[in-house]
Amino acid sequence: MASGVRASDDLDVSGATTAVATEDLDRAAEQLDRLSGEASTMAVQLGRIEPVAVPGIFFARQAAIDVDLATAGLHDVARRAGLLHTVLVTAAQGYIVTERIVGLAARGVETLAAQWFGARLATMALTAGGIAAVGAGIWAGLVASGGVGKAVNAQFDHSSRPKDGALLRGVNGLLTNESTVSLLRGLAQSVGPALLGAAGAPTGAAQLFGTRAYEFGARGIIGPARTVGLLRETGVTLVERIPQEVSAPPRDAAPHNYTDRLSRVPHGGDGGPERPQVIIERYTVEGQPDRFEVYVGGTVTFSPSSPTEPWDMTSNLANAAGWESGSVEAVREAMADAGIDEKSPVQFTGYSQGGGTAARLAASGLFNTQGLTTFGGPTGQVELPGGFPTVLVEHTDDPVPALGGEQDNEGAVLVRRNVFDGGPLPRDLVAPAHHYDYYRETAQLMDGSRSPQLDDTIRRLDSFTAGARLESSTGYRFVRTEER
Amino acid sequence: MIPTDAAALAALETQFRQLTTVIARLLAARSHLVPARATFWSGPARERYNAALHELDRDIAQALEAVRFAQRNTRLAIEEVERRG
Repeated sequence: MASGVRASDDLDVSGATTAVATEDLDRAAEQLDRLSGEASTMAVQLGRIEPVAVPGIFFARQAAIDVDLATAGLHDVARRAGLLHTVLVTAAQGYIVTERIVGLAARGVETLAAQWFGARLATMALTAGGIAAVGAGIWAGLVASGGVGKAVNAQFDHSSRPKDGALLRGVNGLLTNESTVSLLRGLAQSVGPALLGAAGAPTGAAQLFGTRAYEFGARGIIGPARTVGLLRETGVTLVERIPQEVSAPPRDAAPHNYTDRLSRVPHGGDGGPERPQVIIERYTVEGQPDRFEVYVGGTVTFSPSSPTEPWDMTSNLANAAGWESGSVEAVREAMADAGIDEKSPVQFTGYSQGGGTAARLAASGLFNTQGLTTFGGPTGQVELPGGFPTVLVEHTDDPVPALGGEQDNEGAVLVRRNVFDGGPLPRDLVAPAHHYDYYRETAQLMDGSRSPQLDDTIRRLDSFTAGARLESSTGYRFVRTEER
Repeated sequence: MIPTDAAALAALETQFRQLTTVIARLLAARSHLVPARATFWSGPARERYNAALHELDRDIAQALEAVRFAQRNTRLAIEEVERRG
């Protein structure tokens, strides 16, 4: 890593085929399985040695006895290694079952508690009538003065960061922390139930809403914010098609591992607004319809009132609310421009907001989705359908995926990594665990992990364009237009 | 050398080569296929698992020792047959 800060290399891979296991546990189980097989083979090999009887030669008899002892010993090794392998696999599966039961139970309590709290909010607000009146007065004043959108937007620059980065860097230690992130995830998950409670929904109703409760929470934030000029969705318009340079020959240009996939996602950190937000690659295979790889970039500005940028906080919240965000609309338009219709085979890869956007599009049912890979995306409460390989990568000390609520997509391969693990943080980055470079590092670890789940899934993803010819790679840039 | 000793010598030499191969395989298995100590559990579960790994390694060491004895005794038997012949 460029910053020289030591990061953790441990990956936690779960979901899809075999319940959860840490990467180390997987590796140990695989070693023991192979050891058991190898010891059995050697025992059989020794068992085939015929004792050599040479009258009068003591050592020949002794060697035969030693061979028998070694054979029995190797059978013991095979049995013990096999038993330990079984213990590890069983423990891994038991672990995830327990984790899920505990998780569901805890979520149930949290949801009920949030709804209970929400039901009492109105009473509390009435009790504090004076405060409420003052607040309402301020609110009315803001609305009457045309809102705070311009003033808030002025606090953000094009580098996707608030201008006062120093302030945020000051709380990096708090933000880049598994406990805080876990708390954020719980809060994101609880806003909806609390609002349902405040709206008078009966006890337990929030649990019946499922992911809708989470969306309801985001809508509860957007509604009031819009009255003061924030988080207002607009239309979008395509302003530029940018042909992308491809160095590999067309037949070798398809993505071939996790790192390669992430590297194709448009990103640029402080690169300004000129970079594309979406890149679409078109491939041809003889006798088959064209197929497409769609790469969606991350948030460009965290402003909640950007007049031009669709990859902003407004889109983040709209994605959370399950509404058509500026970024989702822009990617759909780019896809139509590239010739993608509902039958075209397509795979999505996204980073950060691009992950959430890609997940929304894959879940929409509007496309013939053949694969989805997201890095650092708020995808937890996007109900992804099965039927195509899906990999969701989240850093457990990154607050952005946590804002997507609890990760409920158990059919996907979920990769988690605690990047800093409580250690020292880079001084030059805000929320460093969300930074692109650290996700690229995670992708490299995934490629080298030898995890059966990851290997199997990348094989399925890469087979989509195996042998295909790259015909074009085009970047697209959109801007916001007028309010919808 | 009498014919029976010649046949025994050939059989012993074959046995020696087989045992040498098994020793190499067993050494490779011991260095590459015995997992490192657990990082994925804590408390008694980790201790029990690590103890089981220790016992597994001990079993491999004993089997290796037995094969080495067999190899050494085979070599001594070969030398004795050769001396006799």
